[in-house]
Amino acid sequence: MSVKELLGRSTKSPFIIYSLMVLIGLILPVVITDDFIIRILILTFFFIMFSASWNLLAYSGQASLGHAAFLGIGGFVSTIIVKEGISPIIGVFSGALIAAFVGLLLGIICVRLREWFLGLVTFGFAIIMVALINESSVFISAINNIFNMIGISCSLDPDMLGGSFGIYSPNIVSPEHYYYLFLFTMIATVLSVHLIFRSKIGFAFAAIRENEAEASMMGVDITRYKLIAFMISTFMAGFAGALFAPFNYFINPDLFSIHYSFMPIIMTISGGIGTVGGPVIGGLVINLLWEQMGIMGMSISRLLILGIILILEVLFLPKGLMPLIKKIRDRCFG
Amino acid sequence: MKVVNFAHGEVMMLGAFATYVIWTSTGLNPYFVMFISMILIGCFGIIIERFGFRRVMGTGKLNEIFLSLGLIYVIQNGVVILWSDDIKKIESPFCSNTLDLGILNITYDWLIAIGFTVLILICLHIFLTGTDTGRALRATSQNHEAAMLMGINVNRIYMLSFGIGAALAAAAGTVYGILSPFTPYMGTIPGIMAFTVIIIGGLGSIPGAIVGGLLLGIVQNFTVFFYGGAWKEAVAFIMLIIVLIIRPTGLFKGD
Repeated sequence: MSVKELLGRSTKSPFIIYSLMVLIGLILPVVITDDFIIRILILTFFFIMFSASWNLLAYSGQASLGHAAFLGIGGFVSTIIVKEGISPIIGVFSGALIAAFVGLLLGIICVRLREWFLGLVTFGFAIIMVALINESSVFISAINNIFNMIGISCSLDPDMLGGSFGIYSPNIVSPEHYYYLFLFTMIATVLSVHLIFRSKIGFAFAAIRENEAEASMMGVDITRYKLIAFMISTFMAGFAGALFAPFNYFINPDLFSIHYSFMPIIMTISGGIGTVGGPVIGGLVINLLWEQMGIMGMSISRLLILGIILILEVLFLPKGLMPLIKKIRDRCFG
Repeated sequence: MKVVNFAHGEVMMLGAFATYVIWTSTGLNPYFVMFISMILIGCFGIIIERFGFRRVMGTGKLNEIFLSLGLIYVIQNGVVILWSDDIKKIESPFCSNTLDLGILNITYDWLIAIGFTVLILICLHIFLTGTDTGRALRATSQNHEAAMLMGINVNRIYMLSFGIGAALAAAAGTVYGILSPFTPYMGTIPGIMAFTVIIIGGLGSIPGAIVGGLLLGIVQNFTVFFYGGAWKEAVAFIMLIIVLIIRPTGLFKGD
C-alpha cells in the first residue's frame, strides 16, 4: 500500500456517519430507561474501546492473542489503589500507566518476533498473569518479608489478590453516569486512534506492517515504533479494564481469560481490521448479537456461532463490514 | 509446512471423542478403534486444509491464526453440543494390568502409549527421509515455489501433511483419553503447548521436538510438585519466553 493511497483514504473521513452515531449515543439514555439495556450498551462501549486498542496493535503488524492480560492489569491495579482510599481518577490512570509499562516490557521481548511467535508469547503472558494472580499470596508475603528485613514494617494482606474482590464505592453510581463515562472514553479512544492513524506514527506503523525490511530502509526506527504501538495499545486496554472494574462491581482472574483475549479479535475482524471504524462497527454488531443470544439462553451455541462467524469472515469477508458500510455511505452521501 | 493451526489441540480432542463414540457404540478394543478414528480425523484434517487454510494461504499469516481461532470455537463448542461436556473416559481392556518393576508399577496402557509414541516417531522419520513423498513434503516446506517447479503437486502435499498431522493428533487424543479422563476443553492448552515444545526444541527439527517435549514435561512436573498446580501452564510459557530471548532458533537447528 503506497503512501498516496493511505493519504487518499484518510482524507475522505466518514465524518457525517460518526457525528450521527455520537448524537444517537448521546440521546439513547433519554429514550431507553431500562437499566438492563443500558448495561449492555455500556458493555458494548467497553468492548469497542478494548477492540480499538487491539486494532491499534494489529495495525503495526503485531497481533496479540493475550490482550486480556493488560485489561486485567489495569483492572486489578486500579482496584487496589482505589481500595487504599485514593481517588478513582488517579486509580484509573495509574492502572492504565502500569499496564502500559508492562506492555513496554512485553513489547521489548516481542520486538524480534512476528505473527504466531508473537501470538504465542502474548497468549502465554495472559496465562502467566492468571497464575501470578492465583498464587499472589506467596509473592505478597515475600514482599512483606523483604521489607521487614530491611526494617520497614510492611503488612500487605497476602490474600488481597486471591479470588474475586472489588466493590469500591465510586462517586458515580447510576447506570446513566456510567453510560456517559464509557461513551466519552470510547469516543476519545476511537478519536485518538483515528488521529494516530493519520499521523506520522500511524504511517510508520503501516509501513512496518507491510514490510519491515523496507520500512527500516526508509529510515523508520522499527524497534521504537513497535514499542510505541505496544505502549499506546496497552495503555488503552488498561484504561478500559480500570473502568470496567468499578462498573462490574467486582473483578476476578476471569478478566485475564482467553474469552476476553479473543473477543476483540473477533470484533475487530468483523468490523474491518486496520480501520478506525472497524472496532466500532464490529463491537456494536458482535456484542449486541452476543448479548441477544445470551438473553435467548444460547450459552454454548453462541460460542459456536461466534466461531462460525469468524471462520466465514476470514474466508469470505477478510476486510470486514467496513467496505460494505463505505459503499452504502457513498451511495447515500454522494 | 509453515502453516500454523492453533486448533490442533481441538483436532486431538475430536480424535479422542471419535474413539470414544465408536468404542461405546461397538465395544471394540479402543486400540483398534484408534486406527479408525485416525483415518476419520485424517479426512477431517484434509477437509480443513482444502476448504479453510488453502483459501487464506498467501494472504498473510494473521489470517491463518484467526482461522484457527475460529476453528477452536467451532470444534470445541460443537463437541459440547453434540456429546455434552461431561467428563468421559475410554476404558482399555488392559486397565487393570500393571507391570511390576520393583520400585514402581506401570500400567500396560502407559507402556502401550510409550510404544506407540516411539513407533510413530520412527515411522514419521522413515516417511520423511526415506520415501519420495516424504522428501517432496520436506522440499515443499523448505521452498514452496522451487518445489512446484520441480514438478511436485504442492496442493496435494499440503493436504497430505494436514491429513497426517490430524491423524497423529487423533492417535494422541485416543491415548490421552485412555490414560486419563477428558472433556471437550482438554485440547486448547495442549495444542498451544505443542507449539511451545516445537519452538523450544527448534522449528522443523524432530529431535528438537523430542528433547523439547521431554524437557518441558520434566520442568512442568517439577514445578507442579514444588509450587502447585497453578503454575503448570504458566511455566511452559515462561520457558518459551526465556528460550526466545536467549536462543530464538530453539535448542536444535531444524532444516
